[in-house]
Amino acid sequence: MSFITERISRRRDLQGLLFVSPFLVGFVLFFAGPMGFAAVISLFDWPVLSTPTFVGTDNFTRMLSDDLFWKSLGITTLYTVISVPLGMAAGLGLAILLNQKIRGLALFRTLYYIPAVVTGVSLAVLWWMMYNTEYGIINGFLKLVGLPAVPWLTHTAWVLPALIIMSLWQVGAGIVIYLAGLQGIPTELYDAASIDGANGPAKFRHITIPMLSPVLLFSFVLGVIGSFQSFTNALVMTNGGPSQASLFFVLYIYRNAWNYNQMGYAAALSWALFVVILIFVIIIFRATSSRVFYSGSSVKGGI
Amino acid sequence: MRQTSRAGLRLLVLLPGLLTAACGATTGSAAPSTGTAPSAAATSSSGPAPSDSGSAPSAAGVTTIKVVDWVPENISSWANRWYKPFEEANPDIKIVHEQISQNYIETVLTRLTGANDIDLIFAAPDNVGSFLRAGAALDLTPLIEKDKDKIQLSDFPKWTLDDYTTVRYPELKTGPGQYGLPVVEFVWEMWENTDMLKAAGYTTPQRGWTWDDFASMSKKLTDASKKQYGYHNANWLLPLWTWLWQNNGKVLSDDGKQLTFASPEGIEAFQFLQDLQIKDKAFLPIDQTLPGAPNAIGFDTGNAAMITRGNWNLDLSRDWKFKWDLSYPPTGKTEATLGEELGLMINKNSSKQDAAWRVVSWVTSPEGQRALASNDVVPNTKVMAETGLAAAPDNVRNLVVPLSADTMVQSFPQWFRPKFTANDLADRLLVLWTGEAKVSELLPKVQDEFNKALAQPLP
Repeated sequence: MSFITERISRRRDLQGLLFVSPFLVGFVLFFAGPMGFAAVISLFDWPVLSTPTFVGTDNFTRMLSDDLFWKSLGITTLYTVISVPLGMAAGLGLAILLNQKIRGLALFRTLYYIPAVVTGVSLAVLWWMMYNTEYGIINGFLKLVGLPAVPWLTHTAWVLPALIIMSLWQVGAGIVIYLAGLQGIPTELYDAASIDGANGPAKFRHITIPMLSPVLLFSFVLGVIGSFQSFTNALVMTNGGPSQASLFFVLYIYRNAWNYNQMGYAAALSWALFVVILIFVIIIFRATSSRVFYSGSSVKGGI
Repeated sequence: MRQTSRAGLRLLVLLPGLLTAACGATTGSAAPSTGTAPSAAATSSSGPAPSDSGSAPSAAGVTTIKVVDWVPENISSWANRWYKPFEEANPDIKIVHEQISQNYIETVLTRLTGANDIDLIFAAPDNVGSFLRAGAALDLTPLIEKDKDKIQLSDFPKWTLDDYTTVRYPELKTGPGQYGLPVVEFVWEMWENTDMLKAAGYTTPQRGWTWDDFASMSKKLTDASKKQYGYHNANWLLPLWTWLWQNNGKVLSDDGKQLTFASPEGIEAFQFLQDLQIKDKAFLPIDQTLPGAPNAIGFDTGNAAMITRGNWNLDLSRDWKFKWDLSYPPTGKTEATLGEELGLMINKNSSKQDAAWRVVSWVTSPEGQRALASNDVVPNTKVMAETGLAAAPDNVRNLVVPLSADTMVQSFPQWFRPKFTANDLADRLLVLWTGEAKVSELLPKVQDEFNKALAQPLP
């Protein structure tokens, strides 16, 4: 009997493996494999087409004295620290508005989501046109209200704010997640709070935020990971300039690999980015472990 | 159920193999190219290709050579124009041209690393260093020696040859050699929109016109309300260097190891340009000139009256909707302009190196150079002197022919340091044209930063 049970169990295991095999194969071939390869070549000086030379951990120690490593890491971190909370706040605010019973709700939801499906380069070109100092629509509006034109993409002080503002354009994807979370909050909680005399802000603080906290955490973590990997907008619109003021970390990796022919160093930088993101994610989970409420579990958040 | 499980198990085992095979098949079909067109591959693998017997070869005997460049189609059409006479003279070779308009160096290197489907690489002085550093180019020295009766390198100015050697990049680990050959020469002139000049009461400037003339013309030709500007400054180092030289400045020290553009002459030249850009607003706004800027206006769209460009501009002129002319660059403390060239490198790992060399040796031979000249393209100096660009419009011929042999022409300043390339320098200088930085402060600071890097050994 136990033999039969064991065979059934093994068969189920195999079936399970079969079902997950597309992911496993894809993961090994396209994620784990390249990551492992990057780890190996990070130990070499490899100018792409020439024979790689083993340099040990030189590529990693070199980072410490590389000004652009620190500069690009600083720019990317600043971008992340500002754009992610700002994007979450904007997304949540809009999701709350779109969660109201108003006419044309489906249209509004669609409109807000559309930018999220526009491809990166198209979006970058569109914003590039809008940010034009002389003829862009944004400065046109500023001039209408009597403000001076802003050199959005050609001034070192303005280029990062410009890219942060642009990132808000893509909050649509977050809105969908927040809306799903909001609609999952039992209305009884709000009713009970109303009976107890709670006003809108109190309900938001004591019901909406705690009930949404798993969704917010998920969004926050993905947002941080995505922000650290920002690349397209800077590559297309500014190419890291002016004066390296928008040199994002991934753009710096890209330049090392393809502009400077330092594939080994680029691989080492990629692993450094992985570690940086990992540290941030661990900090986020640790910092929020007692603040995330999982309604289906008796245990509060954390990993 | 049991059968399903077994089938599933087999599939599980087979799936990685299938995927790997699929990836391998892709690589395999592209990498070990036999130097023949796809239709000929089967023939080649099953035995020797049929003999040509002196007649036009069959498709199976035709070797396809892939040539890549980055220049827009309306300019690169010059290159296509000599393919036909080459193919007529060499019917067993077919040239396939591909334009890679974005991220040229990166894309070519990726393709060489992966598919390895490129045989000939067009390269200009500003990207030769990257290809040399990557070890992408074949040393042509033995091939040149073999065909020395066919190619006369002495016909080419030495500086155009040096651009494809490690003379310019002594710090590269690449060994000494001739890693490419110049195909065409370019000299830089001032191009004018004569419709605008005429409306403002000007005629085409004559040789010896001064910076003051240029400044007053730029200001008078500017009318921002009509989106019209005097000059198209693109923060492009090549035209910028012409102003530096005209003011007796130097980009590089004599030994080529240090940058010297922040000399008093350099600062004065850049200040002259910045004043016209910022104070007088007589130059096109810099936003319009950023590479790839959408809906950008400029000289080509009839929104700027003057621009400093090479004679390849003739190909762009076919799209212009205004009358145009060209002149010698303005004279500062001296006369000076830029000369550069576009050359061909052979992919070091190409399986069709013999055929690729036949293309290169033909187009750089007197025969090939004459074919270029008959298509408005400036060949090497000797053929230029012989043919005189007979097919070019009068105004181009009358200026480019004498200018290309003039001593005012200076070669392309080159250096190679990761993070401190010419593109990186241009990025640092961009803030000059928004007025964010002062010339007298920025130039010395950037020069110092770059020279510190140049003093270090190449990583």
